[in-house]
Amino acid sequence: MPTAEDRLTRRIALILVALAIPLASRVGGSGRFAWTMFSQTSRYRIRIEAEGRDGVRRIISPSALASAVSPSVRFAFAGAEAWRQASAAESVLAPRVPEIAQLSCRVLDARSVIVRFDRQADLDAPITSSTVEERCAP
Amino acid sequence: VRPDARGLGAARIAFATVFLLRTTVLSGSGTLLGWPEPGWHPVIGPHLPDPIVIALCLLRTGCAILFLVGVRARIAGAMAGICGYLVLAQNPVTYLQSTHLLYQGAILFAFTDAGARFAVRPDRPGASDGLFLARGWLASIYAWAGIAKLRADWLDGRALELLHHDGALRGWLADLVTATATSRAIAACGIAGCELLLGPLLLWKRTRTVGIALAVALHLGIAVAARAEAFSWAMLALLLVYLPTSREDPALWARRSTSASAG
Repeated sequence: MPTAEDRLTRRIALILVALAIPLASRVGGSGRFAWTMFSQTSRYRIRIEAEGRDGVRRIISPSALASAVSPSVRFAFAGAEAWRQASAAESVLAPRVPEIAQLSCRVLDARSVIVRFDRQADLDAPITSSTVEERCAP
Repeated sequence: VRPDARGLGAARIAFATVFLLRTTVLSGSGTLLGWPEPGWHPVIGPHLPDPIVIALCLLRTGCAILFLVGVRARIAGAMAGICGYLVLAQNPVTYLQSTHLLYQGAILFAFTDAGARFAVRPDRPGASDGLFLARGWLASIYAWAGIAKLRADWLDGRALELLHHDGALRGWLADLVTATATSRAIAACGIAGCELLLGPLLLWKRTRTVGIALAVALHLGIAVAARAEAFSWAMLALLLVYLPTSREDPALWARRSTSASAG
C-alpha cells in the first residue's frame, strides 16, 4: 500500500508540473513553460542606430552582429530589423537590450549606439518598445 | 514488481530513446545539444565555464543512456533532466518545447516505477507506481496547449497563416490546411478543441482508446506539417503510460494469474 508520505510527494510533484509551473509561466512570464504547443505568435524586431567615429549616424542591420554571437544565436539576429517570430529569442533578448547595445559597440566600432527592441505578445497585442543608448568606449 | 509498471517501463524506454536522439550527435547536429560555442550568447543565472558545460553535456548523455537501459533509472533520469536544464540555462535562446518536455519528463519519471520494468537492473518499486502522476502530467499538457490557443489570433486562423508564411508549417498537409481563411479557422478551432478534449478523454477509462487514437493522429499531423518530430515522438512515447494496467484489463490480469499459477 502507498505510504502517506509517498502519496504526498507525488501529489506535490503533480501540482507543480501540471499546475504551478505552467500557470506561473503563463501569468507572470513568457508562457514558455505553459505548453503553448506551436500557438505562440509573439514577435520582435531590433533597430540599431550607430554613430560612427566620423560622427555620421547610420541604421545598422542586426545581422551585422552575427559575427560576434554564438552560431546557435545567429538566427535570432539575422533579419531582425523586420518582425521575427521566435518566442524563445523574443523573451530572452527583450531584457538584454543593454547587453545588445554593448555588443553593438564592440562590433560596429561606433562612438555611440541606440538599440530599440520592439515586441508584440500576439497579433492583436500592442507593440511595446525598450530603447537603450550606449556611449561606446573610445 | 507490480504489473502496473508495464506502461511506465515501455514509456521510459521510448522516451529515453527520443531524449538521446534529440540531445546527441544522433540528431545530426554534430555535437551534443548545448555544447559550448564561441561568441556572445545570453545566459540565465551564473555563466558556467566551458569545461563545466562540457561535463554537464556528457553527464546528461551518460545518465540518459542509463535511464534508457534501466540501470538506476530513477536517479539517472532525474540527473539527465537536471543537467539538461543547467545546459539550457547557458543558452536559453535555443529553448524549444521539445527539450523542456524531455528534461521535465525525465525528472518526473524519477517519481514513478518506470525503472522497475524492462530494465537491466530494475529499480525497487516504490510504495505506489506513480502512474497517476505520469498520466495526470500528460493530460495537463494537452489542457494547457488548448488553453493557450483560446485567443482571437489563433481561433480565426491568422496564427496558422503566419506559421505557414514563416515556413514553420510546410508540406502538403500544411498547404491544405492553410489554403483558405475558412480552412485555417476550421483547422485552428479543431486543433484547440481537440487539445481541450484530450485530457478528459485520456483520463476517463471508458474514452481512453478514443483519446489515444485522437492524440496519435494529432501528433502525426504535427510531425508532418510542423516538422516537430522530437516533440511529437516524445509525446507519442509518453502516451504509452496509458497502456491498460492489469487492473484495468481483466483479460491481461487473468493471463498473468494463470501463468503465475503454472510457474
